[in-house]
Amino acid sequence: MFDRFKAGLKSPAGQFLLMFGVLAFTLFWVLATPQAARLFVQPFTQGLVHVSQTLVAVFDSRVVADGDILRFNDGRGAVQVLAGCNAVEVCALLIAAVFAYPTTFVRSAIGAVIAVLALQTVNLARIISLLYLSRGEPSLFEFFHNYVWDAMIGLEGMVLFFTWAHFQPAQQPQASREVEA
Amino acid sequence: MIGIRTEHRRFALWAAAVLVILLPVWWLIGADLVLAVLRPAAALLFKVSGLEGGIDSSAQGWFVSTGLPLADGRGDLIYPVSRNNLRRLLLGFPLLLAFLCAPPRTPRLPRAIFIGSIALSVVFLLSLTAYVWGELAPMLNPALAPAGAPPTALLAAPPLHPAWAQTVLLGRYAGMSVLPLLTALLVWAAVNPTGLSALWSLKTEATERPA
Repeated sequence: MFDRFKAGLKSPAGQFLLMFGVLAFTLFWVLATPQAARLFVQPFTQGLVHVSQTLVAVFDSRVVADGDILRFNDGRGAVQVLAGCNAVEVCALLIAAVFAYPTTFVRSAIGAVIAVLALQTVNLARIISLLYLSRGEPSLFEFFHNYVWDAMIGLEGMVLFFTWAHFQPAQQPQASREVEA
Repeated sequence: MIGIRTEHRRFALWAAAVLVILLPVWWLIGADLVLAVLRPAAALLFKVSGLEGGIDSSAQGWFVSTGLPLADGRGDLIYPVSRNNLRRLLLGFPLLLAFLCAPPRTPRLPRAIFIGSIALSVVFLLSLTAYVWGELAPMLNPALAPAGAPPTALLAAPPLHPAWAQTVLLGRYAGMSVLPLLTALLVWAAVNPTGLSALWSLKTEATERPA
């Protein structure tokens, strides 16, 4: 059984899972520290709020950004963007998956950048839609906040990774790479 | 969806369509049923992890008896876990069902649902314990509070060991964000290897060479 486990770990899928686990754990370990919250998560989240406000301002001048809060200036409707609502976590998972995939660093870096941009674009739609729900349909807000958008962003991350992986060229098996080296 | 393979598109559209039906049902009924079933196990796990462990349930959520004294002397802290947060921790159930309903499907659906339910229940219980301890950690040691967080109650008990504090903060963070999704995804991949290989396989030159 131990031999089977060892063989599984040496398979491409096993190595991918192991690398993905290590990268994801490391990223989350760092993101969960108060320092990361102060130096990265908070400024990034406030940036998202400001970008959302800039986008909404094109058609609605009543919306203002206030730190990590996006709100209507008449006080009727607001959202506070917190950790978990900024899609940083799904981005971290996606980055871990892309860099764990056996391809070149440049391809992984390009894939990660495109995937994060795609995820954050949808996340902007989430923030803006939740702002309008908080004003128009507060009873639906928690359902969309906790379930609908989380599920959709998760599904998007999954499809983005599968699609990116499909376009990666085949890699040489580990054994033949070692022989060539 | 230009550039997206047919299998990926079919999977995404099916999963999204099933979620449209499942999510409201789960939010309104399913999550409460699972919460009622898992409450005794959650109380036991709280006790094992060092809390008093009693749970009172109401329409607002669960009220957890921590057994930790408040610094202002007003008795022990009863920590409220909102119903919305509890439901959020159970998001993996409808996600897994949606993945399992999307093609390519496993021929052994009941077995997959059974295994998935056990895995998701375990992850829920661990995430919930980490969530509560992750909320208590800054009350025991205010230095762990995130920047800009509103002031919380202070507890008259020794702070958590730094490694344990970091572990529960990590668990709380992951549990409230991606753990339900990740568990659903990993369980789906484990119980439906045929579906996984149809959507994604690690390509090597050896696997691409004709036999």
